[in-house]
Amino acid sequence: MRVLRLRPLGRPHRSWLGGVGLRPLLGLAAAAWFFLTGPGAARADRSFDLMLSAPAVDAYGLTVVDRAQTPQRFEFGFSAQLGWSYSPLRLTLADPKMTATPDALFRIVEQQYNIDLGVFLGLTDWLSIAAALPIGVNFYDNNALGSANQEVLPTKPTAMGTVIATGLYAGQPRQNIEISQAGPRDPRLSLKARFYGGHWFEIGLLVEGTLPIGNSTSFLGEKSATLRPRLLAGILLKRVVLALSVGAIVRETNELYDPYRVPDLVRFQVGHELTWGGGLSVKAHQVIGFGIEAAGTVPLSGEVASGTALVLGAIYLQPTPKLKLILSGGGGVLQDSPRNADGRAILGFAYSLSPRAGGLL
Amino acid sequence: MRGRTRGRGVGGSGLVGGLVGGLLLWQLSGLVGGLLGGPRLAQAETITATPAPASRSVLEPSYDVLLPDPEPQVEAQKPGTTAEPERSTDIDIADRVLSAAKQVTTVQEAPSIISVIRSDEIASRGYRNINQVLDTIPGWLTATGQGNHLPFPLVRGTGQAALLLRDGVSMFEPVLNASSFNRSLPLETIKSIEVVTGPGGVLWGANSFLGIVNLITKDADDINGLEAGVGYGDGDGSPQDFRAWVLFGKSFKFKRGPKLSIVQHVSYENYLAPRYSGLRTILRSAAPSPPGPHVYGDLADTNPQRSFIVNIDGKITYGPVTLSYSIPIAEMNNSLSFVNSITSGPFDVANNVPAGIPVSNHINIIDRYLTLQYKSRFLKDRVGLDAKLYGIQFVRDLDVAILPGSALLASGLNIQAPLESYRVGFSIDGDASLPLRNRLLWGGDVFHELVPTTSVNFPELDPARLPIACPLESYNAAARTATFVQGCPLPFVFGTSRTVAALYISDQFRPVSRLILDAGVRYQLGVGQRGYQGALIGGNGQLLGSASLVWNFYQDMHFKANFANGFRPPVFNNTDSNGSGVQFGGNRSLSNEQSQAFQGEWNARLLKNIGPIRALQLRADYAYTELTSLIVLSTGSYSNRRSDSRTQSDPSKRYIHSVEASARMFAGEHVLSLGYTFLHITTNDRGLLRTMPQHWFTLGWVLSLIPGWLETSGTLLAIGGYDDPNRVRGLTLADGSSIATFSDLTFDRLPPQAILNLGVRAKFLKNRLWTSLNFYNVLNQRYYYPDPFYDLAPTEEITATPAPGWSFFFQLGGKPF
Repeated sequence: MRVLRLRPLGRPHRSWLGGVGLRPLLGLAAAAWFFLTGPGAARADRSFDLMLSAPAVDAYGLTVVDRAQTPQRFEFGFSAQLGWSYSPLRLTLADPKMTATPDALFRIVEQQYNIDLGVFLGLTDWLSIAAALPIGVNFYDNNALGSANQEVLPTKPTAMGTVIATGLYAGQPRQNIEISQAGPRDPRLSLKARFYGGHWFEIGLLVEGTLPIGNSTSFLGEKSATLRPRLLAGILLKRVVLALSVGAIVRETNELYDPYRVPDLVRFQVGHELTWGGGLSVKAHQVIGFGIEAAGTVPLSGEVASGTALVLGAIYLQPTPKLKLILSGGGGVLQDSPRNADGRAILGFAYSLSPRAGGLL
Repeated sequence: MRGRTRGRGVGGSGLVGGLVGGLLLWQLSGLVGGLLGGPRLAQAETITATPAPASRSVLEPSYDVLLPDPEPQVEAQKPGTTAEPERSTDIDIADRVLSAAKQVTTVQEAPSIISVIRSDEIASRGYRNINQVLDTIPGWLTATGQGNHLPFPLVRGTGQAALLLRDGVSMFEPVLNASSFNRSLPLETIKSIEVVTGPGGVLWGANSFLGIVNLITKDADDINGLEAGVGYGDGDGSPQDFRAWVLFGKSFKFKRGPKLSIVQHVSYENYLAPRYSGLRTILRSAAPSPPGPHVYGDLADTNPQRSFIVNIDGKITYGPVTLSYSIPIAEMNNSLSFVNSITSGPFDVANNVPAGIPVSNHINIIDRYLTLQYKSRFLKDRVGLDAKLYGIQFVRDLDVAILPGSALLASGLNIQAPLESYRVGFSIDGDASLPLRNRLLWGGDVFHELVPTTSVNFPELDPARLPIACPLESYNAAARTATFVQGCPLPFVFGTSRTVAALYISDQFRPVSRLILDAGVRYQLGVGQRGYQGALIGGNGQLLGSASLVWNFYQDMHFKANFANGFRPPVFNNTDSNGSGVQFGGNRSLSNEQSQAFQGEWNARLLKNIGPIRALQLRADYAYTELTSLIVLSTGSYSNRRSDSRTQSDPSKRYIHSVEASARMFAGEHVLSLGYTFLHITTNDRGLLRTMPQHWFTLGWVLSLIPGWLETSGTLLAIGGYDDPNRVRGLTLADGSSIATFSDLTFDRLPPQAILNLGVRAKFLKNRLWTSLNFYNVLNQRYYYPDPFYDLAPTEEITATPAPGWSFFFQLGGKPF
């Protein structure tokens, strides 16, 4: 397994812990990263987190697009997002129920619900940390999923039949345990720095990492830790915010093979990717705003890898300066992509105990 | 390592082995040879505190304690200096440790790793049983044994290693080591739960092996009136659950004489065990040997009888004397039995479906006790004394369905063993403030514990059809026919006893105000029929020692280092089980199991009263723990040897590296907590213990939506993946049944799990009326418990043990006066 290391971020302008500074903390974080991403048990080949666009790391972001704005010093807050995706993973696989097992398009994961619970804390006025523990529930197409224990009754002249594994269980060590519907996804830790924030323009860097703790046997987690740096920029007008981001996902490549094709045939592949995002929000009133957001990925490696693109329309509500509610809906626009969620709905809230002037909208 | 400690002797293997092994052979032969005509015979931090409202809640407990603080915490203000800012009183109070360390201290300064959960957190987080509370403490995780008959917390991945105390009195059950970590413990009576992670042998003696859970009950002043609650819940995880309780507490002051305080609690619960579906067991064999095939039928649902628990407990305090009592009555049916078999009840052979008749399937695990306590202080509070006289009845009443009804045995097969054991004893604990900043703790115990000979019975079956040697009632030599005693009573465990005496002394020395040094020693003697074997000093003694250092090295940051040890004498079911009946063989030469740990902890309180943040509490500890002479099963009986060798004399060992960390933030009226555990266990006979998760997280929160009126709470437990050695079915028969033979082995890959609990709680009329609605396992995650025994050739737990699905519980309560 690859070992990923945090890049040194340099010494901050001022420290927040009595002169201790951030360097020891970064060293500790890097050590923890090394420790947690060290060699581990081999995982089955379903190591894909299908939740393509994670929620913004703090209350100042849009739905899935982060802004360069950071929480102010010692600003603490939390967020929760409930999401629904329709058909977040569909693959072309051999269909064993058809004669000669021709290929067929399966909605492997027919629906996915996700809950992302996050917290954030401003360390300085320009630097913040955030963490999220996401969980997910998948509903599968059982025809493609198969069974870990498919009973085959005896036929003449044998007196005994067998118990076999089918579908995505085929070829794997025999198990009593079926693929789980629910489970944790990979936790996210992030560090966000705002380099410049003026009246018209803002720019920052978000370094996000995920830990491989999610349920990687059930399309809920990655095979390895991932590193997801993103450059954030924003153009600020009176009532309009245009947020842009570009970055990458550095991860170990994972491949899903067709369970019935011989020789092995790769059907799905995810490796390093570029990421992009953009969002335009318009504050119609101090308590309500509207926006449109788009986010996606471009594969950097892999012969059968494909990109993704998601477009969302959003309504942002701010009943109080400390609270923001989000209602978004949309879907994927790359119909040929295996990870093109045909439908996507998100309900979220974010709460800050001491938000910046103007609130969270 | 098999790691089979005493719980394995719960009749599990023995019962299944002796009885069912024979049954299997008999039934298989019937299946093949047609011998059976018609129906035949045939598993806060830890530091927990919800911020208190500005005004004192009528439900908020007081913290009246008889022991004073060990040392003044704030030095006299020097001239010319400014006073320290006022501390967050409620957070400080939440950090207090009242008795787990046998002195009043704080979680930061206690010489061991201590977590405290207070009653207000229990209420606001919607905990319904003790195991849900323990799951939030780093290093602790719930599991069950023998199906879901035996709930026990794993501490550092080790089962049956935690000592349960109720107001400082040990509730260790001496026959099976099956403590009552179950829903029979009424949480509304608890003021706080103090949990020690790691051995605590010097202060608490035997069986404080790797952890201590001390339940401190509310005093009359904590209640000061009448509280009551009623609730109902449903869901696969806890179906049709009704519960009601009343708690009264009042102090009466007289013109003359001491104060009289009365606490009385009564609760009633009626519920069904969690629902599961699975393949019905038709035939099976089990240990000791040979482990034959396991034959499954069709898919079936569990159908246990309803359960009930009545708790009657309270205490009466008159001056320094307190009389405490608990008299629970219960029948606690479970839905899974040994080898996780589905309890589907009797079978309707004519229609080839379950008869729909609920089945009795329980091990009632309840403790009844009476305690007389004298507690006072003398010589201007410089000397304290706490003496207890107690008697405990441990009820472990078995009526277990070891085979569900099937076409081969329509009625199914139950066994019954009304197991009870007893302990009577006297303990004394004292403390004294000595010159030169010394504080001395001292004390001792004397107790006698016993189990009478208990028989196992097989009701409603013709003994002649049982494949075991049932006792003869008569024999007709002429006709060569035998009549067996009805029910086939056989000894389950032979009667035996043990008398224990112990002395300990521990000194705390503060050479400077920021440094605390502790050291202690205990000598414990076990004599009688089952006295300690092969121990120090006279062959019956056990010597323990501990030492610790607590250094307040910078502001509110502390560093701790300590060495602690403990031991666990063999329980009576290990020494005196009837190996020729339905159990593994007892071994009267077993020696004590030993534990020792080297632990280091860093804790800090940061960001105090900065903006909306009131405090950020952090804790991280590392421990290296070594367990030796663990009792395991070897060739059909119990042994202290490593289980992979019949000839070597090496004791079985377990080496544990653990990191436990927690963070707790108090921000405004909100509380957010995070816990993390890393666990790496190896054994000297099996290598890496793969059946334990190596990582798990807990995230908890209480968010005040409308301060003082409405709050929401939640807990997310995310557990990393792990393996479980099990059997898989390999063959299918023409009738649709399938077989897993002893050679059909696999490591089931148990995936990571996310158990999410959510709740909302509203308070009205200045906290005099409240209501709550809690959802448990809202994702309906059908997860599996870790297997603490790690049998590579599984015989008893041949499939993963499932955990309950989702459920909800609605409550309405109040304090009318």
